[in-house]
Amino acid sequence: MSALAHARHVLAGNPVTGLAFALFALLLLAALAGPELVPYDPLASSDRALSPPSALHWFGTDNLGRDVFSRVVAAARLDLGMAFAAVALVFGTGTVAGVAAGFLGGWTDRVIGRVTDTIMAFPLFVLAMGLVAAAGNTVANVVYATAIINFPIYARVARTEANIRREAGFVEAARLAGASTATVMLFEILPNVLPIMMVQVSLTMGYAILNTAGLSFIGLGIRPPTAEWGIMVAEGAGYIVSGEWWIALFPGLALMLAVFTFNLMGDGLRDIVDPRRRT
Amino acid sequence: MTATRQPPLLAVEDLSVSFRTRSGTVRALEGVGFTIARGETVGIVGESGSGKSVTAYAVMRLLDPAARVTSGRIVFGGLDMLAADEATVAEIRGRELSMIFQNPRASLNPIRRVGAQIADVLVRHANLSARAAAERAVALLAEVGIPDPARRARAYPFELSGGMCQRVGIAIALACRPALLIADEPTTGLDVTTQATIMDLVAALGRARGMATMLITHDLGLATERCDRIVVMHAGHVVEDAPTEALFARPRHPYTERLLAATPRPGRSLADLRTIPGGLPDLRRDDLPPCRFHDRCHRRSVDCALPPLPRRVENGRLVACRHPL
Repeated sequence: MSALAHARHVLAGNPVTGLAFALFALLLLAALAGPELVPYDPLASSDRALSPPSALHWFGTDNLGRDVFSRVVAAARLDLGMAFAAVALVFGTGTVAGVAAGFLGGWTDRVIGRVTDTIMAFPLFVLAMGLVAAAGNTVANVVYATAIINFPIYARVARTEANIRREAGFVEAARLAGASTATVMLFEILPNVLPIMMVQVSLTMGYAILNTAGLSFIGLGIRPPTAEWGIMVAEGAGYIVSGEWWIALFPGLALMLAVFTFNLMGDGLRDIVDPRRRT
Repeated sequence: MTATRQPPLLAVEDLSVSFRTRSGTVRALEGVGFTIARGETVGIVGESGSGKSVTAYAVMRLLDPAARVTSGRIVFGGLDMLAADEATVAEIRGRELSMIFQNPRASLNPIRRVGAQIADVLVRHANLSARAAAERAVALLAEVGIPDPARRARAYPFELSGGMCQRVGIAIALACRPALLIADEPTTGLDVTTQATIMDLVAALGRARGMATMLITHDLGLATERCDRIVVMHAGHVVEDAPTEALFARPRHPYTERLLAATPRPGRSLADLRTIPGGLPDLRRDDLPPCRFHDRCHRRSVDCALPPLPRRVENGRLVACRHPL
């Protein structure tokens, strides 16, 4: 079965997955081509400050007269990019560390276990704030902090999944066929853990977006006037009471939509990645 | 036995293995010894818990971490397996010495295509390129009698039947033309007709390659059909070791005799089947009698409780009994 036919088969079995992937395609389009597609320069102010949504400005304008729609769409690149970088980082390190802990056991397990325990002992958002504040207020540090607070999820899930396969027949068979410990870990255990981790990727993408936006909401990481959902919500928050609800609402909706999309995609991704689901 | 005085392919000498458990030390193997010549098929027969699989895993040097070899030697093709370093042993596993398993589906990685799993062994041991290994894997699938091998090579284990999975297991085990194949209850999980075809396949491929086979089974009937020689184990001891016809015609150890009486045979009524009284002794006991069949034996006498366990060797067979039949 070709990959395309398989994807179609999965989508037919679960229409919600189809919706999730359609929304994902929309987000992807905004991230890749958004700044080039939008009708206004997201940074350019105009004399139409604080005008409500209209045919001219779909999402209205903010206090400096910038087009909210253009800013919301243009911000997708930065928000998704940072979340993606953080998740890619933690997916690689967390999965490998977890598989090593679960499969090798002993000291490896103890050290990695204590590291995850230490991270989990903090309220995660506060930890991320502290890390960014201590390491320096840069985009890179927001990405690292987001990766670090998600590390325990990856390491623990991968550890459990590797651990239950430690004594599996195929592991024994591979050893008896002359495979080394590293070979067994990387070529027998890891492929079995990956489908489960793919679901984690999708779920943590949602958290990562919220986390990066949350950090910029409180003024860490990205700085104005950059178009970013967290900052835009923060900037618009002060105008809600005076009736200019659209400045905060639309970037907030964009955030919600992104988190919602990635959470929905989780199950669908597993169906596509795990060959045991191909029936 | 043989005219040529070739050293045996595998020699297990005085092997003792114990397991440390929370409830005491289990003396799983004690003084186990037997040899397998090149091209010979030897059956290791005994009830569950008699130490058959522990013996196999000791030969592969892949015992549980809780196990300890307390005495003995395992010499395979001139190499002392217990003294060799890990890299040497890993070189041998899968190339000179391979194994097929009781549960063929569980011994295949559920998430990888079977062709790739066969190719793994070839890349590791035969120095083939990935492409050549993939082609060879398809040829091996054809050799083990899988129809449409090119398509099956791209299948996942769950898409194949139990018998097919065992054929894949055999293809993996035989990929590098090993000198010895250890078959650990290879047909237990399969239905009867598949059992016969799988055993025929192992026998035919083994003959074609001049490969020795160590067939571990609790099925004495299967062992008599397939093996040149049978080693009977009971509670971690080798109680009898004899050529198949001789063992069948005249068992010497009381346990072998009881085992034969408990095995259905053509020309005999099912009503003649006898059960063996009692069960295996608790191997954690400190006061195990030298003969571990002592408590179940109808021929025991007072002197049976005295050490050591006698080992009589005559006419190329061994019987560990003070009062053989």
